[in-house]
Parts: sequence; structure tokens; C-alpha cells
Amino acid sequence: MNREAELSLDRIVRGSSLGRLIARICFSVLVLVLLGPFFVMLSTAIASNRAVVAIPPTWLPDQIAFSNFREAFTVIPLSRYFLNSGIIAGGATALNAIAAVPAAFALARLRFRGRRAFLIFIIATQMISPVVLLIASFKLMLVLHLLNTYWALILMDGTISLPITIWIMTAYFSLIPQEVQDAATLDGVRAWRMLKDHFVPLGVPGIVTALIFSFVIAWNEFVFALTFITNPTMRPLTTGIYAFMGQSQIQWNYLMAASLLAIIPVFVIFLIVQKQLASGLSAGAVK
Amino acid sequence: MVALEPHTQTRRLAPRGRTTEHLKTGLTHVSLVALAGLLCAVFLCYPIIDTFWLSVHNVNEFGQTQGFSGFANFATIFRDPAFRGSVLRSAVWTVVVVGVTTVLGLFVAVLLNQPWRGRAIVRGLLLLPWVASLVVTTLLWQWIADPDFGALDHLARTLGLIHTNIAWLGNGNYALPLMMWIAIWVSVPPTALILLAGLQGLDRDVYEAASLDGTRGSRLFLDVTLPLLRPVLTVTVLLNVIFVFNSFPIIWILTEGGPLGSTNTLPTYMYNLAFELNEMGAAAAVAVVMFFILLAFSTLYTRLAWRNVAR
Repeated sequence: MNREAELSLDRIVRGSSLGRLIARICFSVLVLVLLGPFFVMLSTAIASNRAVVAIPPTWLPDQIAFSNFREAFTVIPLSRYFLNSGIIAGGATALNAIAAVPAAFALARLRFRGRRAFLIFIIATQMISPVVLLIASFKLMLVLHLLNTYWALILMDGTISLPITIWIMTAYFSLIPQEVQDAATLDGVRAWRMLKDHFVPLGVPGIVTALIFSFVIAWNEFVFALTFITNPTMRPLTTGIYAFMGQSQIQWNYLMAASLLAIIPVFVIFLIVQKQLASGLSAGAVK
Repeated sequence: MVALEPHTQTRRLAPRGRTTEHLKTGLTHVSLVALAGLLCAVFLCYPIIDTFWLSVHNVNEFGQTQGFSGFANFATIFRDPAFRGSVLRSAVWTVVVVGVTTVLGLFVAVLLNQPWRGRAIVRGLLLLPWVASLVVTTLLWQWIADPDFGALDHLARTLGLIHTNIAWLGNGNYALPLMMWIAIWVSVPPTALILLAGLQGLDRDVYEAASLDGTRGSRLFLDVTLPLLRPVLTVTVLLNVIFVFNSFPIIWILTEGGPLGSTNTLPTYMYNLAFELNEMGAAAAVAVVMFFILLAFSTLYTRLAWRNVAR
């Protein structure tokens, strides 16, 4: 459809101009409400120690201290927390890459006994939440002597994201044309080679989308980290920052500066891949 | 591709070479799903089974079982008024948060689906509440709700809504509604973005046909868009219910279920029971109850949703 026709169609779809105006105003207010808190985060993160406790509070600090971002690292053991979170989220993502990619390929393209059962199992496990698993998995980690190790969180975070990563990747692998598979089968290529040489290269957008999901789930996970890790030096960012604010007087400007730094890497990744992310999700949803 | 449908008759008749071929293909297929299956079995299925096991036993604080106790753990929690309060609050919490989130999310998605200047920027910024971990966003709201220096009181005073500052989180009447709002606030962006992807996947030809029929504006939305969007909407609501019902960090970080248990929902009630009071058996019973509530809801909901689609 050409651009002109598309525009006129949009005009029809949007309805009357008064209704449109009201919708626009409501939308603007909603967006302000949704984003306002991040404005507070930013203005607090750059407020000096004196400005942050000004009475009455101000919307913008009258004294700006960019040094907060540096200070936050000395006041809170942030670099250690970043390292821990990186190892845990990276490990969980690697686990997803080696476990979910072949499984999703098999589910999408091969016929084998138990395939249906496995698919239903994958969908059913989405219902299981960390909180319900918490008590028994704590006991399991205790028995395996994995409490206070990275492994406890890599294994748990990696596994709870498996169903959703398999789901997204299966949707993507299903979209790859049948001819690719037929040609490879004719050449006598076996499943693992077919996956490596044909499906992985073609499925990169879906694989990346799914792996980002597992990374973010592990990076932001709270309940397992709170329960499995009691050693302060092993804590990831989430429980590290939480534990820090539990002690003494909270210095909110440092905390907000630290929070901002914790958000930025994930935000940038999401910005880059947001298109694929949303379509990957809805592809998984429709399936 | 060799389909591995075991058919004893043909298998017996097949030449030896073909049988090994079958076996090889079968093994390859198994090897593809092996690691994922193993991980799910050990870290998802086993803990679920063990939770059921623990819920019908006496359990010490290290999670070791000390004899079968039947339904004693369940009797204990059902007698506890705090448990009944938590069930009720969990229900209200889930219905309100998911309901408001779905309506607002759909509204945002529809507006983001229209062409206007700056749309891409707003869409990008809307990722913020989603990508920030719940810990970070919750702490941010704790600061916003601070009774001395917080932006919430400041805003309410500026607008003339209040004259003395309110300690939002220290007050049993305000704490839970504020936390519900935080949960809505973090859930709207992802919901909107998934629904937006669904809207963008809709067939434009259908709209053209409808507009030729003279369908306009809100009728178009109600009669064409909404029914077409139904599958995506159904999945979004289901996933949101699961996620919101199990939501733990917001309440735990802000009040740990207090003041005086007035913000306890099932997850915080369970956590408190397990790791503060060391009542592992009773806590496992709460987990089992939570599991069945979600199972019952999901089954019923998917049944209803499917029946409507089929009709």
C-alpha cells in the first residue's frame, strides 16, 4: 500500500478530532506519570548531600554534584556487585544458549516421541514462580553445598528463564522456510550439523532476543539472591543495594546514582533490540 | 526426515541397518533436548515435588523432614487469620493490578500504534520501568514516598491536595494502594509493548474493508481491533496474572508485609513463615496452596478464552 493511502486510512482509524484530542491529553498525562519517577531519580542522583535533604524539597537540586557517581562506588561496594551480577547473568545466559537453542530447534523442526508432552511441559512451567520454588530449591542448594556460590544463582536463574527462551526460539525456528530443512536433509545432514550450519545463522534475531531475556531475568532476579546468598561479597546488585540501604542512614543521592548506573547497561541493550524483542514476544504469544 | 513413530510390525520387518538408523536418529533427537530437560527436571520439577512432600511432613529449620504429618501444616495455616487476610489481599492485589494494567496498557499501545512525531522516543523511554530491576524501581518509589523529602508529598502539597505530609508507607490505609500503583506502574510498559507488537501484526486489509463498510473510530476499535487482538490480549492477561500474583520484591522491600501485617500477600506471608519464623512445613503448605490457586485460574481462564475464540 502506498504512503498516501496508508495515511488516509490512519485518519479513518483514528476517529473524530475531539475524541482524538481527549485521547492525546490523557496519553500525555499517563506518559508523564510513567516517566516522572525517573526524572526524580535523575535529579536526586545529581543532588549534593545538602540539596538532597532540602526542606521544602525542590524539583531540581540547587547544588549539583556529579561526583555522586564516583562517590557511590566508594560508599557502596558497587564494582563488586556489578562483577557478581555480570558473572551470574552471563552464566545464566550461557546456560540458556547451550540448553535452549537445541531444544527449541528439536521442538520446532523435528518429530519425535514425547515432543507434544515436552511442549505442554514447557508451557506449564511458565506458571511456576520463583516464590513457589523457593523453599525446596533452598533445601536443594543446601544439600548440593551451593549456597553462597555463583552456581546456585546461575543454575536457578538459568533454569527459570528456560521455558520462556525455548518458547521464543521455537516460534522463530518455526518461521524458517521448510526448504532449508528439506535441502539439508537431502544432503544427508544430521540434526546437530543442520542446527549449527543452517538454523543458528538464520535464527540469530530470535536467539538473541531470547538470550537477552534470560540475561535481564538473571540481572534483575531478587528472591533467589536474597535467599541463597548471605555472604556480603557474593551479593549481586539487586540484593547488594537492598542490603546496603538496610544499614544506617540511607544516602539517597548515592543510591539513586548507583541505581541509574545499574539501569543504563540493560536500557541500552533493550533500546538496540526493542523491535525484535516485542515481535519475538508476540510471536511467542500467538503460537 | 525420519519420523520416529514406533510401529512394532514394520520395525520387526525392517532390515537391521534401518533399525540402527532409527535408533541413531532417536538418540540425536534426545540429545538435542537432553540438557534443557535435565535442568527443568532438577531445578523446576524436583523442587515442586519436594514442596508437596514437605507440606505433608514435619520439617525442621534446615528443611529436613521429621515424620509424616498429614494435613497438619494446612490446618495450621488455615487457622491463621494472617493467612486468610493474605489470601484476600492477594486476590484484590491481582485483580486490581492486572485489570488497571490491561486497560492502561491497551490505551498506550493503541496510541503508540498511530503515527506522530516523537513516538519512537516515547516508546524507547517506556522501556525504563521495565528494564530497571524491581529492586531499583521499588527503592525509587520508597524515596518518592519519603515523608520528609519525597516528591509525592511535595507534589500533593504543590497541587493543594494535602496540607501536612503523609507517611505513605507507614500507614496501613495508604501502603497497599501505593504498592498496587507501583506494580501497575512497572507492568504497564511491557504490557503496552507486547500489545503494540500484536496491533502491528494485524492485517491492514481488514481495516480497509471495515472502513469501506463505513465503520469509524470507536466502533472500529470495538468491532474490529479488539476481537482480532484477542489471542495476544488473552496471553498477556494470563502472564500478568501469574507474574502479579507471585509478586514479591515490591512489598518485601517496602514493608516486609507490615505495618502489622496490613500489606501481607501470599508470597510475603510465605517468605516470612519460611525464613524468619523457620516454619518450613507450613510455608511449603502455603506454596502448595499458591500453586493450586494459579493452576485452577490458568485452567479455567484458558478454557473460557478458547471457548470464546472457537465460538
